[in-house]
Amino acid sequence: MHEMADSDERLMNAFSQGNAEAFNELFRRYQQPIFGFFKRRIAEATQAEELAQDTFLALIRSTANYRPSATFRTYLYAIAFNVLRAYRRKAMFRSMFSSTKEEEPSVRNSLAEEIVLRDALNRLGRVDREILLLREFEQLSYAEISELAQLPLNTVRSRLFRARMALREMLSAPAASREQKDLVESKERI
Amino acid sequence: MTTNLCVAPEDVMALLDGELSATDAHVIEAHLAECGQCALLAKQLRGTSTLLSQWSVPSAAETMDSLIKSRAQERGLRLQKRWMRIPPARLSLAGALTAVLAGIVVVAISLTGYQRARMVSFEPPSRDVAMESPTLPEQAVTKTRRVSPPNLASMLTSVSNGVMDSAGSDIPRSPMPMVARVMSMTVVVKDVDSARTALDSIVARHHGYSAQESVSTPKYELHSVQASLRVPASELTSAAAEIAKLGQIVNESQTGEEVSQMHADLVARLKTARETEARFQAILHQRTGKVSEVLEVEQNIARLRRDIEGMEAEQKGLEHRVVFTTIDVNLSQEYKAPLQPQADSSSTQLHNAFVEGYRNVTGLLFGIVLLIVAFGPSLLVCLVILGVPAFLLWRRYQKIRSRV
Repeated sequence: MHEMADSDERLMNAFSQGNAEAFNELFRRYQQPIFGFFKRRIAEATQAEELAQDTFLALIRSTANYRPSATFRTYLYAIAFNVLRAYRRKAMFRSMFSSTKEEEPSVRNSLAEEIVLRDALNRLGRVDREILLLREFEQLSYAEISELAQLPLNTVRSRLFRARMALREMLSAPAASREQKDLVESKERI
Repeated sequence: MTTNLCVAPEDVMALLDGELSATDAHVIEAHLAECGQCALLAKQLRGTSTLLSQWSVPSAAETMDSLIKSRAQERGLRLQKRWMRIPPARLSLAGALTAVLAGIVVVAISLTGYQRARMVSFEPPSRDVAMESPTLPEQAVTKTRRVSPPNLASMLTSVSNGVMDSAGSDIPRSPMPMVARVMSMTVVVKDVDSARTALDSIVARHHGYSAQESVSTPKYELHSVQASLRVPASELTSAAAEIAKLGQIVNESQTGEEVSQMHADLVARLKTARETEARFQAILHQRTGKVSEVLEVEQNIARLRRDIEGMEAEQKGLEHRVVFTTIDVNLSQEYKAPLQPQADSSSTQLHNAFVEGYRNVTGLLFGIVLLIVAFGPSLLVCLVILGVPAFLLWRRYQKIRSRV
């Protein structure tokens, strides 16, 4: 198929001209990555699906705003980050007024490896964790991460290295001896 | 970069991520072949990535497909229309610009109308309609009711009949409603002084008089004359028409108040008071009694006389209002842009501007101080009341944020 060989940007341009088939192709390409993006950040699968859906709906709504100056992938993940941030804000707001801690049943039902990984990742600083996830799972380049996180390229590199080394250390150390590290909360965009 | 020294560990990582240029990648690869420490680092990094790659997520549910695709279909159909492709931000900007332009057009039209009102070539509005249908209060005459302008002679007769018939048994009633009219006119004239002279002659020609007249002649502003004229009601139409010819009318209004009932009540009360006075006079002349009784009767007569005189004056004033219509005329000079610059020197203007600026600043600062003094304590109390729970919520928020 000719459309299969088209770049994401060309497909998005075609959709902005009213070609719904182009969007279907984009959706086919990114449905699983976007779902994975949310699933790795939110344990609840249903919630991750909803947020992925919201991301694509936001993409549909903001078609007119798309400019091919950035790669489509960066644009889409930027939308996904906005959706994630909005979800986290709401979750935090709910937590402030709720006395019971929200349970995450799917965490309990997850595989042991997943739990260990989640636990280790949660010990990283927020920005370091997001940079690591974007690189390892979303396979974004350093430049794309830099654009998305609005951080200098060298900062992305150093933070990614730091996060990888910290994660390796945590995963290699015995579970009992893992201590909460003093991770400074960053105030950057992510 | 050189192979003699250990490379930056980030470069090793960048090599594994495929983020180095071909040249740099070649250098780092060569270094890794030689340096065991860096090779170990690369191995560790690869191991971490391998560990992470084991974390797989389940497939996304198929339920998402139908909704997203149908939305995309709808959106695609809408996007086929060219104007729908305009970004919302641009549409908002266009809307705001249109609103601003519309505002400018409205202001321009208003200003043009204002300037036109000052032009001499402006045709005065038809006055007959306004004269034939005066606006009267609801309780007096309804809008559809035709009220003829009162005739001076007949009105004088009817009014005098009512007053003089006080000896009769029936309360006198005017055959037609008594309406006190007030007209207001604003006329823009070329020359206020000549217009004022012409106004005086109009008033004299129509057997009226000027009750009040004030002239304003500021140095650098437009001259104006405010006059309150009284002309016989029968002459109102012609007098107003002549006044209108002095310049161009920018505002004209007429009101009328029906005073028939008020007049009839006054006449009846006057009649009763006179009859009572006559009876007291008769008692005083025909009967004798104690001095105190005589004095009491005389006091009553004096009180009644005061009342009668007051009512007579009121009646005359009322009748005068009916017979003579009030015309409030405002003559203002046509605006002409002054060619001469301001008479004040530049240094004076500068000095005045500084003084004005100083006053404004001190006024503003004093206003701020007043505001703080007035609302400061209340704000402080509110801050204390709301601050504590807000601080607790903020701490909780920070705690939760650190967990996410």
